[in-house]
Amino acid sequence: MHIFGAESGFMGGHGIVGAQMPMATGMAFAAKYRGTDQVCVCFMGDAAVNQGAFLESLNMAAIWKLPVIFVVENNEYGMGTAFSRVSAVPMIQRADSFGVPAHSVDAQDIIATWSFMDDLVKQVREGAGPQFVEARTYRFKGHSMSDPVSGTYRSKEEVEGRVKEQDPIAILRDRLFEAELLTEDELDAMDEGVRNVVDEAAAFADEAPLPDPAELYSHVYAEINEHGRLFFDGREGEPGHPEGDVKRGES
Amino acid sequence: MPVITYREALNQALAEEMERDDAVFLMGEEVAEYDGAYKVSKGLLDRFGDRRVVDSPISELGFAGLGVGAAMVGLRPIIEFMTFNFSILALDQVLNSAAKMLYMSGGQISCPMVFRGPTGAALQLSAQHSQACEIWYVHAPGIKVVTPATPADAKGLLKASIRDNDPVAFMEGELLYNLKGEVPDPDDGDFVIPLGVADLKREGEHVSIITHGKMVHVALQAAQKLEKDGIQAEVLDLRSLRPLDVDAILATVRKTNRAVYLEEGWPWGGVGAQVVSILQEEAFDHLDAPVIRVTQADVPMPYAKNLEQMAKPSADRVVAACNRVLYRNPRTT
Repeated sequence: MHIFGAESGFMGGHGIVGAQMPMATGMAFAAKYRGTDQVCVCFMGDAAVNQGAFLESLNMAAIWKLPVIFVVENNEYGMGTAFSRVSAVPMIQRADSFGVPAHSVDAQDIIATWSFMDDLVKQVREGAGPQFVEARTYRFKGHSMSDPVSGTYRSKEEVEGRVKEQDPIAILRDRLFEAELLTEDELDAMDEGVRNVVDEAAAFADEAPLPDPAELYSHVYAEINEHGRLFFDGREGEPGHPEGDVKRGES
Repeated sequence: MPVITYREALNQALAEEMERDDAVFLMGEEVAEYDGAYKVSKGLLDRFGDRRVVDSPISELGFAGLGVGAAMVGLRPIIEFMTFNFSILALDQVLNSAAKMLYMSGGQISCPMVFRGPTGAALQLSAQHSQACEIWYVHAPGIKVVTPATPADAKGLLKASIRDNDPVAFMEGELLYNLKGEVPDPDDGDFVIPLGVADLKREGEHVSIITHGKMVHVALQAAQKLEKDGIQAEVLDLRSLRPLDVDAILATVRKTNRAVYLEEGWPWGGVGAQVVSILQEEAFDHLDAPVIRVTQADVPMPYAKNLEQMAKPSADRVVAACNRVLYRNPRTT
């Protein structure tokens, strides 16, 4: 979360569960407002559908027929709470009362998911209106860095069984072998290549300097008004201080 | 100069900015077909169509967040809350999304948008419809807060807020919508008042009443009463709380050496608390008395007429506060 790539249309990983949905609805509203053929695809975990923002967004997207696809990655657990414990009905029914078409796809099958989404995006681009997609998956790791893979809320056996049978990379590998589109050697070379990319990225991150302290007040505001004070902490040499450089916050 | 109402002034500002920039649109409950709960958007649907004047469902969190998303990709939404009381449902999108987006995205994504509607109490609307909400907004860096008191300020500041590249909470007053005042003729050019410039609504030499929004009029009433008693009170209207015209606050206190802060909200952590903090840090040697605040009573707004009157700040309480900082016993009137 908290990563953005506006240049490529990646409008953020947002830190509040469900808060991305009204924003995605707004981006789809903007596409329709401007008459472009853009589509907004909004991802969330299964727990997000219990937020009010989910219901409000589905409703607005439906009444205005906005080009947005809400994709729930249903990995069956919101942190340590099984979805079945916090929803009286299956995921696929959650969009029913808004008149938004709902779809369920086996997200462990990469090819099926890719071709399904490719087709759905085309339909939405052509005016099909909002869509709700349940991408059925499973969480192989813990919820966070500090969370064990299994624990009080699910058994080791459950996780191991799912990893064995439903690893999307293994499923894709086997299908490519079967179709003779990939050899063991080619796969090893790909693995090696990917490992190098990841190692280089990690090294780059570890070696990158921390931000310049002067950046603390950057990008709080897009526009520093000509008059008045915007920062109020008043530390000496900082923008909030009477002698501070208010312009420093300018982006 | 033409005399129009605060409501008409806001309507003019909306129409002029929508005319000027196609990226500006208005969304909120009852803004289109109903002409606005307080008729601020009267006629805009006919003029600009339902693409740009959009009735929303009663989903404050949803349509505030829709505005944030639209702003993130370059539109300039004006999100109307029927009152800021209802915006409490939307605060996640205001404070967690709009106010932090530019910072979290390392400067990539800004939110040029306006959240607007009335704040504060009207008459006997009781606890959940009578709150002064400015402190909840002004607390967060990343957002700007504007509180116009007169028709001219309403127009000039709304136009500036719509053009500003940051999210602006523009807080009006339900009891101000019928207020009349002079506003420059639209034919005489673009009338824009920059954010961050306070306005001296009345000059005086003995005591400064510093305030914002609707309370400007209570301050002016108090100043009239004090004048009958030989006291010349200065009334400083901050007009915007973020950015805050600290220079104007310091100037009036350096002149009168005594100050009262008047606000509609509660005392704990209020706007006045911040102004008092600034004064004691930056004008301590100019003060001849402690600064006193006049606020709403520290209770939810009561419904009963007599209790509501007791809870609201009044001109008489401001007069009493001014006499206290002047260390004088007023003539009984």
